[in-house]
Amino acid sequence: MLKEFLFDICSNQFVSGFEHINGDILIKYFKPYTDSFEKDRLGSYIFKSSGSKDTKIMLAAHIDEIGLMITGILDGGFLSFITVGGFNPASLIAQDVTIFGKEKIFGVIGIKPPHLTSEEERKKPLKTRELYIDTGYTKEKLEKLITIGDIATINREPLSLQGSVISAKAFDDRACVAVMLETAKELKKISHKSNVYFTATAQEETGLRGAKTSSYKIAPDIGIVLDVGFGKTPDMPSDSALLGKGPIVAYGGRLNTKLTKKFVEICKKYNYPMQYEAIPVRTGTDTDALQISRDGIPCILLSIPLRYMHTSVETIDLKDLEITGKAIARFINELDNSDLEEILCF
Amino acid sequence: MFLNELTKLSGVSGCEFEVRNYIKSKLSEMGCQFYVDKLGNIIAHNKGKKNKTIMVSAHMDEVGLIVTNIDSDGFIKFKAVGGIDQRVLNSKVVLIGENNIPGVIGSKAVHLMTEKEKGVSLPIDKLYIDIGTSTKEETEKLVNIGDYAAFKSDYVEFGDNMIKAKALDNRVGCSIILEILKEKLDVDFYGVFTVMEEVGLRGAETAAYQLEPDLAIVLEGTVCADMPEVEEHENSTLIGKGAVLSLMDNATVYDIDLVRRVAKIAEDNNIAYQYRRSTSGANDAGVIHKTKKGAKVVSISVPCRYIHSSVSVASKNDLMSALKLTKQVIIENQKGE
Repeated sequence: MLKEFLFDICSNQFVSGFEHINGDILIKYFKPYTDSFEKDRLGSYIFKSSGSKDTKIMLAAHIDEIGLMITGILDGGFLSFITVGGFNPASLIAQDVTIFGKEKIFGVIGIKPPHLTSEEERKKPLKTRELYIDTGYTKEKLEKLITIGDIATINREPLSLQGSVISAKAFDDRACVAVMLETAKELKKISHKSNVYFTATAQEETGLRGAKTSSYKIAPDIGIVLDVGFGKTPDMPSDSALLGKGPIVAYGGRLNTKLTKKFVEICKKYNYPMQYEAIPVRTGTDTDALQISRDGIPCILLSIPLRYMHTSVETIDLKDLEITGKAIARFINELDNSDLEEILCF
Repeated sequence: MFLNELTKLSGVSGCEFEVRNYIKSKLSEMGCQFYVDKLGNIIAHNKGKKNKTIMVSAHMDEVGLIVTNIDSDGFIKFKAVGGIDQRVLNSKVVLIGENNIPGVIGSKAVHLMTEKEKGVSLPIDKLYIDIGTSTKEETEKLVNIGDYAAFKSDYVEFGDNMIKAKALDNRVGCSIILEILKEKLDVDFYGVFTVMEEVGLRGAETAAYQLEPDLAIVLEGTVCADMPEVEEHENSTLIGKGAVLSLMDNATVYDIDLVRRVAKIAEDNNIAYQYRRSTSGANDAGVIHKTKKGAKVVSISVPCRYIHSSVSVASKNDLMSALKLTKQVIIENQKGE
């Protein structure tokens, strides 16, 4: 079910700033497990599961993805573009894309063939402005279909690898939107007293903006921020997080230490596996916005190990999503029966 | 059209069996006589009016990867088979081995890169395929050293009569031969589907030895670089401007009288054509024209943008031009000089 949700949602575009176009897909999946739904003015989707207590717990996972924006229509049916969010230009080479113009337009980002390039040229760093999208149309026809400012994404059909490992574009951070769905489902089973806000935040990739406005709107007592972390590959340090071994729990100044310890304690009690990381300064996640929203929100940060971040072949293990989703539900359930004020007091 | 199905098959040089099996089954359906030689080339015979031996050839193989090692965490190391630019491998899906095990070639997160690393494509020996396993043993159950890997890329029709697929070099040639064989023309020629062109024109050499052609027509998907970032004099060919006639490349100086005669046939029949304005690259013509006492060879190609990548692009109009021209050249040559 998580896989079905992810494959569906990752087959649609949610480029930062354009989340509203396909946002209603979320409603279909979250509605059965939540009580009400609202949006902030930036396009974050907030699903509320009401409880009997006044306590408000906000879960945040960003729905937006990195993408491309069209800047020019050139002779021969080529388009120039800029990136929305952080891309390695090397990951854009030899990809096919969809441009969301008046209709969906197929395009290809190619490069000069090896027959005509020198060894030196191939080693040279490539810049996004040296790349073009080939649409196969004439300029005249293209001008009727595409407007400057239209967005585009890489085409990548979600793929099942071995076991529960899957690969697609935009698992950053929809893997964590799936975690929220798992938590919502689980909370329905084990019940909760707090009001829980499942928030699919907008515009994280361009500067944590939806997290700022949605947390202002919700005014939660605590925040549980969910994002993806760096999973181990041959070019990474040997102590990097592994896929399939549970969420990465973060320690550092952006996080509330006592709340984080409480989460760890509960995971241990219920035998949920975890991994750890220490982040001294900025986390680069919605946490950085949430922590200083209003008069401050104590947060914990959980990351799902992911390989090849910000490419079209982001790879995760579904097991980690289930573990994390269930652990959060258990955490909320235990918090409901604890003195939250005492946990949060310094 | 055979092209759609042909581009879905894996056929990395030295491992062309999927393509070969497909072509064999199509030839059988057509009732066309054929045999497979010792290297794996398919040699089909269209019997008809004959005054010379004509060989029409296209290679079945495509560039791809071969597995060289499996590391302790289950990641797969590989080498390139044929001319692959390291830059086209970043963030791609590949299918490995006879069971087409899916895998991805990723790249380090941009967040972890230094400014200097951004935009740089890593050399192939620094890349690896991830099939979602976490140990060497798990991977070894599914993948062996020596397995071939091919790009996974859908056949898509887009724009004005354009096609995007992998391996358009040279499934375009294979599809043209199949289309002409299907017509059962009353002219004699051999339709030859060769192996291992991309790794040194191996199959064409033995096929030509067996047939001793008077005339060979080599069909290809060829370099086209008419993109905005490329200077006009480096375009080589232009997409949508017709079938391509080669004058000279790294392996062949084409018989100029024959090239001009083929150009005349194109003009007389209103078929769009252009000359290949580059000497880079080589094709099966390079070995065919030197077989035994030598043979006359002409090369008719379809321009392919982003050739040797998973997203090569060709025009259906060019494909039709190449098909018509090839057919006309066969017919005119069997009429007699």
